[in-house]
Amino acid sequence: MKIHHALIITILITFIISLMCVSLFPSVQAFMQYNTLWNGLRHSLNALNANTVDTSNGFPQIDSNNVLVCIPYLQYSDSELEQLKDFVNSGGTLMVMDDFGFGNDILTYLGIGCRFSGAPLLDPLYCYKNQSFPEIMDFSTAVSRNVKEVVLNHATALLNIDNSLVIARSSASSYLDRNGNGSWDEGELQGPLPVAAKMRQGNGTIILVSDPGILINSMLVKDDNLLFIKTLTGSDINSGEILVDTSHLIRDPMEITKTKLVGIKGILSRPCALLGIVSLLFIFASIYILKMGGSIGRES
Amino acid sequence: MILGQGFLKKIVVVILIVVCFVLICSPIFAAVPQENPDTAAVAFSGVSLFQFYSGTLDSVLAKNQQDIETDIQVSPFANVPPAVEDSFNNFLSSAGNLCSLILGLDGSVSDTKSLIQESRYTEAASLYTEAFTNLAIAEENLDSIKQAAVIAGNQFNVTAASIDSSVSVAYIAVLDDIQRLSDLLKLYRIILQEQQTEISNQSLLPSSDITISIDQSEAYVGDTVSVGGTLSANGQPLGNRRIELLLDGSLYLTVTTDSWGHYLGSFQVPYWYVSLIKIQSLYFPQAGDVGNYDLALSPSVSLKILFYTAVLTLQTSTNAYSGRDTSVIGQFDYGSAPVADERNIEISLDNAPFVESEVSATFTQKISLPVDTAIGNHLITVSVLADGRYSPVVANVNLTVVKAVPVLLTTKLPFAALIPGSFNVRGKLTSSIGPVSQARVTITFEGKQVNAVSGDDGTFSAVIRNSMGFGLFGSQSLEITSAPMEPWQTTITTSHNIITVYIVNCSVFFLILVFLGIILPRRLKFRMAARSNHKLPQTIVVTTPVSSLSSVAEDIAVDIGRRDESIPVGRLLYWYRIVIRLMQKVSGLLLKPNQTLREYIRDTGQTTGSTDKIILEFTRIVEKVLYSPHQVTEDDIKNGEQLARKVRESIGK
Repeated sequence: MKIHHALIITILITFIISLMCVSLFPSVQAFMQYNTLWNGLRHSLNALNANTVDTSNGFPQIDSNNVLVCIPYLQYSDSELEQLKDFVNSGGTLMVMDDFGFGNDILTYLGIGCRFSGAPLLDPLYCYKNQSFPEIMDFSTAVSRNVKEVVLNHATALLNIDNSLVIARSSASSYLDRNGNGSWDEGELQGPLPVAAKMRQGNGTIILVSDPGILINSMLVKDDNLLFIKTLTGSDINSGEILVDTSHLIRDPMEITKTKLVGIKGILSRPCALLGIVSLLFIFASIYILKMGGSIGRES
Repeated sequence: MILGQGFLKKIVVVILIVVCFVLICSPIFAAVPQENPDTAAVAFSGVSLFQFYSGTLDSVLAKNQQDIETDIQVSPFANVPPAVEDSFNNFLSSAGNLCSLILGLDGSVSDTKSLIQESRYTEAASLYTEAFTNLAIAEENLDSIKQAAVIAGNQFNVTAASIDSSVSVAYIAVLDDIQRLSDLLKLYRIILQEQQTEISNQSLLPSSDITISIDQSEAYVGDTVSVGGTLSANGQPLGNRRIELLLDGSLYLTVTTDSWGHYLGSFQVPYWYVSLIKIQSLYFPQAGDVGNYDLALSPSVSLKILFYTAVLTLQTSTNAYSGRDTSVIGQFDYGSAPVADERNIEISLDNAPFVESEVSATFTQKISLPVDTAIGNHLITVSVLADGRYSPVVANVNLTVVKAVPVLLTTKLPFAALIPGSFNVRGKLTSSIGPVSQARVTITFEGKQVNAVSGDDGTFSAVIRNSMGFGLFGSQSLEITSAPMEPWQTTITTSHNIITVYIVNCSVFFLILVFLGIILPRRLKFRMAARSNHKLPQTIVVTTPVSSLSSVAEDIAVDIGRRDESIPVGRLLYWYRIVIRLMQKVSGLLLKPNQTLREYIRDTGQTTGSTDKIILEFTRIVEKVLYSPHQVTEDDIKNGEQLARKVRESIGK
């Protein structure tokens, strides 16, 4: 076997094994749509009957009766922010779920005075297992009809917000641990602190939730978290769809490859692409047959 | 050196494996803000628990029962150690009870004081006894609270902690609050004991009596009722004394006794839509009577109150739309009572007053929902004001506000679209509230958008013109998005699949396939055959050694079909090829690569019989041509042709 043949075969085998690994290796990155583990979104998306939307290659056309969920762990560009603004002004519902990301950029651009604190919200008394999982039991009238308790996961709080807009608050024993020492110190804000709010903007609605963690597979099944999200988005009565923007989440190269692989699968399954592949196979087979010529069928 | 290279290879392989492992597994260990709730460590905070205890006790001291009730409601969600759970619940229930008892004691002390001032010592004594019982219960509850605090203290090992530690400070704050509550209860005990002494001293006064009677046992609201009775003390009438008439304990009328101690009065039955009103007359000593006569309170007489009631049944549309009118349909059922001509109603939306109107027994009231009414369930409350003998009525009904979803009906789409070309799209938009008029319809196909506006009957029409593309054929999605003008309608997008055929592309592709499949093989065959003929003479004449006859024979067998029969060698070999094929057919043996022509003839000799001599003769001529400088002559060709014909005839026989 010649060297260049061996090299080509090695590259081909490596490529095929890599594709298989990417396909078969489970997704472990947080908030990923194919991740079925505790920190993924797979089961949550199914439970919410939600879909994902990728805005990295341009903002798609989204119907105004849909709810767009943003988890801004990566910064939005000015053009993306402008499109978010247009979406809201035209009657859409934008749900910003953030704890320690770039949610404040969106709020600033939309001209909303409220801010995500960015400091951990801890509740040593009303919590699930430990103080990083604050239990929320104080809801506005509209929400409390369906929802009794919600548990957060390493959340923050909303600051500088009008009381009438708040739809969920933490307990009086909660506090914002600004210095990160895990205990309350003089000067640190104490509960009740707003963790969710809803407001009108233009013709649309903006919903703020200070913890995207309640969306992950292991959290949506806790307490009334699923009902809370459904109530906030109005998905129990509205015909619109919930679309989770996954393009502003931190993704490792394998996740990117996995996503692209799924995209390629989609492209390849189109009639034109299939026809192209068949044609290529036909051409290569023809060339091979012609190259072999009369030697095919001859007894060796 | 070899060992060294092998070792180096192993090192490289190990490094590669480690790098791959780290790259693949790094996401697993990547830091994320979230934590797995199922594997999270359980942690309890003594400080927060004691702060909570202290806060609750502060609420008790502040007599803020609402805060304590809120704490009790959310207590199931508190994260406390299992060993403390029972005492935690006891603490909260005891704190709730204690707060309620302290509020009661406050009232008792105040009421007892008032009763003593009004010389109502019998009532004061009764109240005082009740207050003492409640005080004892309050002390028991405080003990439970103290016990719960001690249990929590032991759980968090407060005694072992430094006095300056957060947990100790919080615990001491709880004990301080308990002590303050204990002091408060002691204070109540002292006050009640003082009141008891005062009542005992005053109970020796002469008792006074008062009677009461009414002229009817039942009356409609607004009717007039007469009331009378007698006031006496130790059997002697008390004249010119002021008597207060109490309706359900509240002062309603004041009358004065005559010189015989009789009193008489009349009053209008208040518009209280209750079943019974209790009437009492009260005399309490004033001016010179204070210290001479005891207070007198008559037994209560009951007056049955009559009024007309109605049941209001409400209905609304199944769905309402923000910005549109909706109707509230109501019907009064008065039973056996006369039906009122008109009633004033007030309609509220989510407890906010909305519309006021006058309606008859059956009514349909239109209400216009504001454009910004949120989607979801809302509460419609209809309050009917009281009107004379008609009691007020309140009824609720749920109103669901939704957005209407247009439905695309009777879409006329072609089964297949030819590209380039055009086709019509026609459809009708309608929703649950009728045709969707003036809606902006956007039709997207093949990345192109065409806009249309629906007419009054909801119909729309558009022509899609398709230009050239890169596809061949397949199913393409045609999306129709309708954006209604009205705020109560929602935008929808529907998808339809249309088979698209790119005629030009398909034709070109077909031509390419024809070229690749038919024309190209023929051309290649021709070119390769020509190339073989150019090479063959050189090989035959100059270089082929005798030892490699078999390979030459193979070449002949293989290339024989490719030779140009127009040259002499080709013509001779054409006839030899016929002979070889005949031999292959008869014997069923193929010419092997390592076989000479003669060996092949020998092997096939058993099946060809006497013909093998003719074949051998022909083979000699061919060998002469192939393996010697001999040039093929016309005689050789004629001879070969004759021999080939002989072989065919011989084998044919």
